[in-house]
Amino acid sequence: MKKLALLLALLVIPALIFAGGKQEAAKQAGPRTVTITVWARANNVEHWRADAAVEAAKLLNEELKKEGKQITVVVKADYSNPPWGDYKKKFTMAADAGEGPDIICSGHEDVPVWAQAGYIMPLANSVSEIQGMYPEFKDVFDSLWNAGMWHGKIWAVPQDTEARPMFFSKTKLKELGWSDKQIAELPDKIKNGEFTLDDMINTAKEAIAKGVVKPGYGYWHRPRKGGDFLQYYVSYGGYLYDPEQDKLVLVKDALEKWYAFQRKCVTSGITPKNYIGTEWKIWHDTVSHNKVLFWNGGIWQWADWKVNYLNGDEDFLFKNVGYALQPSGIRGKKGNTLSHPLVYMVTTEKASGHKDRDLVIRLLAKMTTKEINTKHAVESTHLGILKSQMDYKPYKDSKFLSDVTYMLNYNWYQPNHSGYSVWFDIVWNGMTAAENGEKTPKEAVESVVKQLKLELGDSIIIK
Amino acid sequence: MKEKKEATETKKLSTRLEWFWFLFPSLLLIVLFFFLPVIITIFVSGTNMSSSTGFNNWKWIGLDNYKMIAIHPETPKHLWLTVKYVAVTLVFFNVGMALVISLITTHISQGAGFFFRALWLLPRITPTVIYVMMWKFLGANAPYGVINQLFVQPLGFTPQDWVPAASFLFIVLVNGYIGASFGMIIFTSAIEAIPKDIMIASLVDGASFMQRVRYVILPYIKWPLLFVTTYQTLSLMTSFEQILVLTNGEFNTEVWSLWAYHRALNNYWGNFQWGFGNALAAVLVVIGIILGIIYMRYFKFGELVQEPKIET
Amino acid sequence: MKEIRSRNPFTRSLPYILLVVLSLPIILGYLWILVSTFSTRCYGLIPVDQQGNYFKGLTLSNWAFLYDKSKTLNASIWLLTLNTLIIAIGLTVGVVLVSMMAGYALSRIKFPGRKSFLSLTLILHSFPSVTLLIAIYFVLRWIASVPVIGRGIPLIGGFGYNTLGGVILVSIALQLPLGIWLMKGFFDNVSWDLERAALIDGCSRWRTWWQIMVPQIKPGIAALSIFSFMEGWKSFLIPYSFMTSQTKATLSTLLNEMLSETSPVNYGTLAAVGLYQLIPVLVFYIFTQKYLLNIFAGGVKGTA
Repeated sequence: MKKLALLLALLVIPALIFAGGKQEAAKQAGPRTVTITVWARANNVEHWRADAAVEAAKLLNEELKKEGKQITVVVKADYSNPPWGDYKKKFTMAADAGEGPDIICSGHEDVPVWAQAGYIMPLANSVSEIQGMYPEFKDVFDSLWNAGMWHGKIWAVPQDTEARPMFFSKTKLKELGWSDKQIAELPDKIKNGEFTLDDMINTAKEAIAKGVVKPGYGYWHRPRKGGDFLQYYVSYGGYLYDPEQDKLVLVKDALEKWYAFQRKCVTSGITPKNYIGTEWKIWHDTVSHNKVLFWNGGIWQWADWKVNYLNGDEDFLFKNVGYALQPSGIRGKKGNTLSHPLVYMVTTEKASGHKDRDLVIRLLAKMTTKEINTKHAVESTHLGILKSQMDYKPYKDSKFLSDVTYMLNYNWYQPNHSGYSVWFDIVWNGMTAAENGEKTPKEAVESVVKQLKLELGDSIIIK
Repeated sequence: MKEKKEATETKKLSTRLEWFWFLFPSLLLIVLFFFLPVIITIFVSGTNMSSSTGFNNWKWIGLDNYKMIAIHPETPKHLWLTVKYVAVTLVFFNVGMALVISLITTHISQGAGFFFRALWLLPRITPTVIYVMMWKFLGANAPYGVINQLFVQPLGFTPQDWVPAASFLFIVLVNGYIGASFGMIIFTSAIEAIPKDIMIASLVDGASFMQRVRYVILPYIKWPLLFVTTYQTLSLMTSFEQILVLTNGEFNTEVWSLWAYHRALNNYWGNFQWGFGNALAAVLVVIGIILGIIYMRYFKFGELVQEPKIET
Repeated sequence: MKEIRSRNPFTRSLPYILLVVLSLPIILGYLWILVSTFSTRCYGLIPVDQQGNYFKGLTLSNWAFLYDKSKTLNASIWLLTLNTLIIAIGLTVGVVLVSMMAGYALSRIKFPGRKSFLSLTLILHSFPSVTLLIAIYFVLRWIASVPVIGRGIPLIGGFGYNTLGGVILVSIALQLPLGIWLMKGFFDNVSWDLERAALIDGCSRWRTWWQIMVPQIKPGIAALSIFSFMEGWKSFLIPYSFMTSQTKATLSTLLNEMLSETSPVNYGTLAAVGLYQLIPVLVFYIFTQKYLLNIFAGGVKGTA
């Protein structure tokens, strides 16, 4: 009997609590607080990606007060710095469980996947429509809206953008016998396609032969998986996407040349053997202390080096480090760089479990101001996204940012296509196999083509 | 009177059902986290469910995922790696090293034996991430790595980052140094259980250490040996936690289970293929069930499930 | 076991040399953690300072993470410690209680399907549960949608997806086959005179179990508790897979995040956080080895 009573109690109590919870939710009139959660992937110098919302909420609350609305917006800003895959997994699972944040900051390439799954909501049907929504949105560079475009709708608000330069050691080039003028001209030469990837390999080889840098320290690419490598695919004339047909593309010839380039870096001794997979911390420590001749990275790493590896000594960087576009593989073809704009997406009611989507978008507009965005841009060395920023003093004062802004004229984006993740993984695996010499570039290309056809079927064009 | 009779009847009934309440929590958990997942795994493996379909827009595609596994160019690679990894780790560490350590530690002073066994248990109790970090920095490139500093450079070889350079060796080592302790404990207690007079007799006969191992000890621990071998085969085949943290499957270390995990739950751009990943996992689940049944039959299971001692 | 006696000092020390050589990676690895914890930077096992001078740069600054959030990616180390502790304790209590109940029934009561249930536990014991992670996600999502139980419980959040309770529940389930098997073994060894006397006196099964039997298997409970606590304390894959927010996760997931990819964390801090997580385990280990050996011999899940 006792047990039965206990069981009954166990069943009844939760029901009571549940009923109580419902009642509370029912009374909604009067003053209310709206909690808006923002997730961003950021390290300690990029925290404004999330904290921008906290600042913006202050502005928004003032406005709401003026309008006489009894709504207070409270922002929960959460940022962490796991690998992208982990971060996206967290979001996918949370959104699917109806536990997602209201605003998610991620790469623009997530738009098609998450839109298709119903996690994020479309914001507008055209660039002009979104520009008309809030004055802040009008200030955003038109071209950046395209990064958040998918199937004719705009799904995302730009957060920042960047360029991925080829860094080089000015002091090491000088030791090699280059004149100051030659060094200063290098970025232009790369831009115009006069200094190619082959030239880079030869220069690095020479530097090693003359003992300017240690063997294997001539050229360091990104040590881990990332879109950066595709810059060389593009350097050899490759492209990723056919917007007309909305299909992914693989250019076999460019792919093979790119794979051959990666392999040549190793065989010519400018990149260490089995180099892919080097610890990031070791990589940062090495390149920021001026031990490598050429290395490809991203402009945001500048802030990371300065703050986390050089105790704030930016002068050391300016003295030693130069930056240019990624050299072309074909003489005369312009240099290029990959931009990977991060964007804010607004989750659906279902994915977040919250209403008040209008308020969320309004908060986003308040986050898109030159004051707030510039804090992020300068502190984390990312490029701005607003027209007004270009004349805004705190932004202009950053020498590094001014130096690299021109690169945006030579940039390209990864495609917004739901099969891109599969495309990328396969191409990446092919590259590592080629670079490590497990397959010849040709074999690697063949294997890649086979897999792409198998896994992507109709959505891939092989050229 | 009537009331009393009713009371005893209730009591009887409750006695009869008591076993059920004792088992209820375990049953519930087993159903929730073993039965249901097996069914879900097999079910989802027949769909095209992925991040881009979400959990609502997926389609039933029958055996297509399995067909894809069958003709996928990467399948032989992952399969061969898994077989090689399980075999090598098993032979050299989970059984081989375990045997060596337990043999030596049972033949030196008790205190020392105990100390070294405790040392070998450390990797098992150390949180995985810390343990793997240790290995990463043992193998890291000069000037950071310990191996380069202590062995490679003094001997005049070129230092390099050993984790990518010898990735296969490293996944074997990292798992092997954890795996060895399991066999070590089982073998140690088995060796210690060998009757003293038999061991002493072998000494009197003037048998060398190796002879004693070959003719006295090994025959005695035949069963534990087989047990450890089968048991560890299964767990090596499906465990990927260490590899995930060490290399994340790069440099040709993507074993089958990690392949499934990556496809379904964790990849670079965050497009998860639950259908395909579950099909990969289902292959392991089926192997697991079959091996589980076989080894249960094989290990004199009847003796283990003797009748309960008390029954009222 | 008898030592091998030999006059030759070389032959006598041979097993020790061999053992040390074989154990070298373990020794060096733990040594590395210790050294780098207290140095600015580390070249191999030698502490160096910012400029790379050998045997300089000894410091305690790596331990600043105890009060400085920015050292640990802005996660509060104390909150994470608490979370890890909750998981460890929740897992321990859960596994011990549930296994004791099931173990008792399996050892002492005759009921239909007893044998199949035992076989089942044995199969599950060797079952590759990690392959089920993907599917378990679906189960947790479903639990999350159950009112209150899903996500309405203070402290552990509930038992659904993305709650400490959910992580605990999954961990308990995966640990259960071992626990049941172990507890049954311990109950098997308790003399049944004691229990029979109690039952004849009219004690219910529940009272007999709780008042008579459970106190008899204290060593077994101790062993299982210690083991479960350690497993919970170090658990990585389950919280990593089923918790979405870093602030809700555990020390292991924090470490993984600090270790991986682009985190701007120097590895001195990394080692210090690692050692911080390791210390309780080591202390526990040193004082409870005997109990633990008991359970490891009872068959620990694989290498994972």
